[in-house]
Amino acid sequence: MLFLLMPHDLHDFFYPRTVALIGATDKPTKPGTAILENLSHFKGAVYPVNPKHETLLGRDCYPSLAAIPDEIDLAIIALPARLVEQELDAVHEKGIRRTIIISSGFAEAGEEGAALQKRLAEKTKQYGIRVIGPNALGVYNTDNGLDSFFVSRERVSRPATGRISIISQSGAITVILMEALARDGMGIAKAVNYGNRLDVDDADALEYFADDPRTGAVAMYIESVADGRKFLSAAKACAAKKPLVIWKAGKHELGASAVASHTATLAGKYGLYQAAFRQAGAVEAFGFDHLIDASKAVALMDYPCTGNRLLIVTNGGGMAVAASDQAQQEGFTMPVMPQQVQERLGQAFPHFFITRNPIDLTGSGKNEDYYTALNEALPHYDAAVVIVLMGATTVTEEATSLIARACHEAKKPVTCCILQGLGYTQEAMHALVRLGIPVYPSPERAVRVLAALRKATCKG
Amino acid sequence: MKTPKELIQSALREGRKALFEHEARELARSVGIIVPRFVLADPADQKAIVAAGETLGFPVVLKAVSPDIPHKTDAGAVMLNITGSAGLSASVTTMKNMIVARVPGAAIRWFLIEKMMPQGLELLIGGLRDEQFGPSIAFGLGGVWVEALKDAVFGILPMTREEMLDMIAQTRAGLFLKGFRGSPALDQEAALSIINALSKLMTDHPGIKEIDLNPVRVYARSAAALDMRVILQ
Repeated sequence: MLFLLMPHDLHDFFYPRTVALIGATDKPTKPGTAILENLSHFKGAVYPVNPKHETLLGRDCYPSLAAIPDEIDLAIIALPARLVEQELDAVHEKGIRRTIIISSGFAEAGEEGAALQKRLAEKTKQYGIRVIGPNALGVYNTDNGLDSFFVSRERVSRPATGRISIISQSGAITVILMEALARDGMGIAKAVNYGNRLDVDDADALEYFADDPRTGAVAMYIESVADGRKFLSAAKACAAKKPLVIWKAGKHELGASAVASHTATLAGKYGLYQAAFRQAGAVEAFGFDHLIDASKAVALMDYPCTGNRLLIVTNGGGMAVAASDQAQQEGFTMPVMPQQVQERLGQAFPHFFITRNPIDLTGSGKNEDYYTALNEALPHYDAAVVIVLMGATTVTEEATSLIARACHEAKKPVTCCILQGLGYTQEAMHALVRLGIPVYPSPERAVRVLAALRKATCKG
Repeated sequence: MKTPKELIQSALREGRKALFEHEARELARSVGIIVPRFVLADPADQKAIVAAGETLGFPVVLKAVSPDIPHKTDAGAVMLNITGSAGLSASVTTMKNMIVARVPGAAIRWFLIEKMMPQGLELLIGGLRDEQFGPSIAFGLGGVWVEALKDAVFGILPMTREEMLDMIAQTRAGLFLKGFRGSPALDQEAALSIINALSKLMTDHPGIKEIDLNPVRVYARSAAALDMRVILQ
């Protein structure tokens, strides 16, 4: 019974009470400087370790781990690669069971680094220490302010608290993803970049976030996985509980040896990853923007896309053409509006509004017209893209609450397209996000997101 | 009838990395995959070859079985739609000459004469053993142009029935199975049985590295594997 009550191994990486930073410093370009600054946001105790300093950033600095008058839950090591191995002995002697190794110069750097990493792996296994890294940014947790990333907040702003958690194999993508979400008014719950996967890997992270009550959706970036079957199993378990969006980069592996069978010739690695995503029930994203767009959508939207009948509502005809093109490409159909619906809309609207699908409210369309259109038409479709050109004087920010109301009443997935502008349109975009409607600056992106959702639900 | 295990072991013992075609067919049959009736004949025995054609009933297909020929079509080692004894005799000579020209030094161990099956939708159904994902299935449109069509999608074993249906739904082959532009729906259950059979083979026999069934012909009521390759490890 006790076994069942033990928290996941990764819990202590995200919720340590005390953290030691080995390699803390004040030199502006060193990772240890930025990490120490970022750790000032952490609600627990932080102990910098560096024999060259007595204080750093207003904290007592210790010459070694042994000198710290406290138990340490998490050690962050930001030292040159050649010094890490001996530091692990000190970590072990201090009784620390969780370590993040920021340092690069291991398996990613060549044969010597790979051998070094292997020795670290043996040592930490022997000591029973769990490791994130090496060559990793580590963890970020909005719940307690824990931030082991060596990227300063001046350069990269941190998002507010929200429900999306990030798992990334690439440090750069982790950071850019966080910032892009922040810019779009989306919050995050937690993030982990596990680097070279000496120990903690993609499947571990998926398992942890699956059960993390703070995580409502997972956005993931991978190039490869540690163990394909373990990954599939963990992804399936995670996606069963909350939306999982995955972008796998590096699709075109350069071929193998001469193969005798068609099957093996056709396989290539990417086909199998696609099988894994499909069988796991994950939403597959194709590229950076798509990952962000889809993550926003799954975090905000409660309604799955259960079919391929798309409705487009717009107040500018040209945008609807663009959306229709993308819809075609993505395997959506655009059935013509049922006759009775067209008649009812014909009675509510001026005669020059078009109601066949797309519904074109023209530049004279008013806020309420969006509600009327969606309220009548949405029940006959599986999803809708709603395009709002805010330049039209008859449309104001009020339209956003009317659109949201129609979406929630129909319980269908809706994405909005509001063309990127200044001030006024930004307000409308943020309003929609607050109301649970994902919004995008182009019709194509609004359509692509719905396609990603449909493929995850309908598997086709 | 040898069991799959026996077929695999004896081939490996002989230092072979692949089953001969008739062995592959026995393997397929042992897990319930329908294979056209065939006769194996000594390449030097013209009479036996012609008799085989008459026993099976024309039209027949003639294939050369050789450890030196991985792709029969390229080597001229397959001839289709042979309609009578004279044609069969002549085909044997033509085939021998073509193989000498295209794959010099190739040893023809047997000729395989098989009943020619009616036209039908051609699929590729395969099994592979990936280092990362383990035993997996490939499925899609097949036939001679399979590598140009690139319709194959994959499924990682084990798969539930629903996952197999999802996999099929990803392909153009799946569209044709459902019936397309006036063509009737085809026997999807038969295709699923073949997927299940390959799944069992890949799971039960680690000695099998890859299985290629191409083409599998699917009809309104049944499906048969017309050509297959089993690669061992």
